[in-house]
Amino acid sequence: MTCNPASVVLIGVLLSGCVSSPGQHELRGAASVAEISEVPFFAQDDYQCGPAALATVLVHGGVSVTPDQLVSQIYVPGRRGSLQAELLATTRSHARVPYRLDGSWRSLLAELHDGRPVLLLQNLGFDRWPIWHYAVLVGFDAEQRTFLLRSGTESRHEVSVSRLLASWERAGSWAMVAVPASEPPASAEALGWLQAVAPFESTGRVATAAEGYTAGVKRWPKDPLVWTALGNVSYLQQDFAAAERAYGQALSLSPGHWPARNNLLQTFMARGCPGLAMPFLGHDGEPPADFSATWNRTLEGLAAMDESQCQAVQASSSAGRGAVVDRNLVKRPLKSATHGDQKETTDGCGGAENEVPGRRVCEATGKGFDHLFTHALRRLIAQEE
Amino acid sequence: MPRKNISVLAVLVAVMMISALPAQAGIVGTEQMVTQHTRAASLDRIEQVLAGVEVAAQLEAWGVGPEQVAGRVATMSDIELAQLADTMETDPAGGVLAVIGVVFVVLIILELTGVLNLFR
Repeated sequence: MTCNPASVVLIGVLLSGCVSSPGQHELRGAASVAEISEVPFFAQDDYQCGPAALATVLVHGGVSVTPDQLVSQIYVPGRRGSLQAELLATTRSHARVPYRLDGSWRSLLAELHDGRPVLLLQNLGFDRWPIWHYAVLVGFDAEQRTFLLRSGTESRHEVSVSRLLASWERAGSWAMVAVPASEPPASAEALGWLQAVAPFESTGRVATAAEGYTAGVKRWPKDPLVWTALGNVSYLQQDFAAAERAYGQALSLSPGHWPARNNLLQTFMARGCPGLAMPFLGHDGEPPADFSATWNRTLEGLAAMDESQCQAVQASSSAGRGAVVDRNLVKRPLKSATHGDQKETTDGCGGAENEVPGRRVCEATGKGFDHLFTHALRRLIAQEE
Repeated sequence: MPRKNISVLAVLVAVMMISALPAQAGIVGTEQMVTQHTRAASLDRIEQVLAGVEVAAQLEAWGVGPEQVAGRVATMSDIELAQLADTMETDPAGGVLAVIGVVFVVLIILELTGVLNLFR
């Protein structure tokens, strides 16, 4: 990429124009440098780049924590380092969702573009003699063709694009961002978001999981898995009317969806109303092999119940008995359904930002950014090879 | 030391057996739903608890204080613990201090020798 002043300014304008909530994600667009300048820096001690890097992204996300506090949560003396699994779990302990990026450099850029520092694992050695290191990606310098990192004892470590990507790929292209449960990140996809949020549900932090799934159905309103997940937390919160609506939504999008159907029947059983299950016991073939035991248990449970204790669900949710088969409800227009399923991240915005109220609209500017930077990267990589 | 280990593990087992209520609720939990077809998701209850104990024991063997182990294990879900038990010995542990001094020199030498290596 020829970095004439015009294109440099353009990058700056594109970046700053694409940033939500001014002040929170202020990107420095001066000269050729795009950097999320307000990301803090914590110099690491000894082998403790894990705590330093995690504190960097957490504090930037508004969590009050220090690397020293994280040492007792993620540092493993015998390994002289920190395991990814513990980074993820500890991020959740601080009420943030650890979203694992998909391993493409486009996602790294999409997150930077969105003002989100990216915690990544590098192998600074070789495949056979690895030297593992965590660092935080905070920006790039288009003219120097470098990425900018908070790394080790350097608050502004510059490393060439190709070298960074190579060290990252040698580490399995592992990267994460830490976000509030209400904000799926720019590069997120539905399945990845569910995988990131679900451990909150499994470990009993149901309210946080509910927040994450609620944000999920806004972003991916046509994905039956996300609706099923929302039904699951409603079930666990014993809001059976909401659970039935969410499972019903999943089934209207994907008739016969086994987990949604199974969990809907479980919801009827929890209400003592096995009779409601009849329409859902139709001829939809056999459940997948690894699911048949669960399904059979549900059927046995249904057969063993009687209807006498069936109670109408609370009227507060206005769903009432039979909510699931209410076609009007099911056909309720899905909010902005046209963009929800896009997996496109090439514009650096995930293509879905419009779904999230209060977020930026950046389709056009995002494409410009990506074009410029893609071009620069391609040339770089071609030169290095 | 062995006695301490056993008591820590016993407490862990008890906590984990009790704390896994959502998984027992009847519905297919979301995590189970989105990690289908993996070994970890298909484990039964006992195997999951044992995986947690395995992770705890390994962390302790690696020098994590016994008073911290229980808390750290408790932040992970059963499925995560089962996956970690399978992979933790080979999982990368990021930690090197990236002051590229001696390490860098050594790497350059290795890189050069790698370039000159006729077998490559």
